[in-house]
Amino acid sequence: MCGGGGSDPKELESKEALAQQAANALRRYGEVFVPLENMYINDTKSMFDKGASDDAMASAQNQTSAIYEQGFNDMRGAQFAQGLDPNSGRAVGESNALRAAQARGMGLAGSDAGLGYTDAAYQNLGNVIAMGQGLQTQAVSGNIDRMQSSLDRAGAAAKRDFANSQSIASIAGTGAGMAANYGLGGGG
Amino acid sequence: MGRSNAFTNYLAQLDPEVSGIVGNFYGYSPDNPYAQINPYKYNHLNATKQPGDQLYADLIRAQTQDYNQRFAPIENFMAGQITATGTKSLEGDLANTRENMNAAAANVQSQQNRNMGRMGLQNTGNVSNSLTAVGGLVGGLNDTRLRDADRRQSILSGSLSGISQKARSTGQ
Repeated sequence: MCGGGGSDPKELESKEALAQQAANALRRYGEVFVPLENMYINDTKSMFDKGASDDAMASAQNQTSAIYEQGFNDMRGAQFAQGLDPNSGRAVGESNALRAAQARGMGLAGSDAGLGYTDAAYQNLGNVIAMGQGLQTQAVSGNIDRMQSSLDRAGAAAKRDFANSQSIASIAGTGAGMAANYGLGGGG
Repeated sequence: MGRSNAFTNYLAQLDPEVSGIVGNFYGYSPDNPYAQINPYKYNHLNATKQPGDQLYADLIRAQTQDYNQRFAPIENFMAGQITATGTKSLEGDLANTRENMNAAAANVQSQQNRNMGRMGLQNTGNVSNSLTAVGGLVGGLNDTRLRDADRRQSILSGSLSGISQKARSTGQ
């Protein structure tokens, strides 16, 4: 009447087959993806090394300097075209003021590139953690994307600085219009 | 190479947790943390011994070990970066900002000196001491602090909050 059978229940054969399938998938994950993940983890760790962001910062400074140099050539041309004595107070003052603006632009662009690099390092750490938690990873913006947003800001700052240049403004009619011709406009 | 394979095969015969301990003891870290899983390890067992369950248990142990070895230290590192006001990266970032502003001022000063020199003029302006450059330095340092505080908030409300919630729900 009562069952009373003392034998252990038998496991379904399909359960072992499923476990074997999972084991094979995991081994394959280990062979193919774990080395790639480890590469990413090591790259992320190295982003916290001292001096890791040096290249990014130097590159941002150089590219920002180039944005300003183009404007300086035009400013000097405009000063000569107006017959301004380069030794005059106006010419020297204008030139020095714009050089200081260039220094500010370069310094802030470099600093921003360094901060962006640190942000990216933390973002990558977050992605590594998400990998470990099996969560969906978010898209990672690369060096080029970060650099571009930094340069867009530098370009906008240069446009404002040169828009205030009296020599350029008097030659072109409007400083802003001339600055736009240098390719300093946004959209980069 | 041959010895390494033999050792991997030896580890494969062990329980994954034990194989991890033995591997660590000998400083052996194979690229593939799942290489020691043998899908057919329990093939010989009778169905009443639950071979599928035993294999699943091996997989879970291997995943836990992999998580503990590769990901837990990163989580600890991330949590350890947080300070009362920001992150431990603040000091380095502030130094970078100062260095960037000083280097840019020195660079531009040299350019200006050369340009003036070409016209036979002596440059008397000092870029580093200009209000614009000093203002840029102060603004840059303030921005660096703000960005660091934002970063802390982002870590606390982003990566780490997700982990703590998951850890809490797993522990229940």
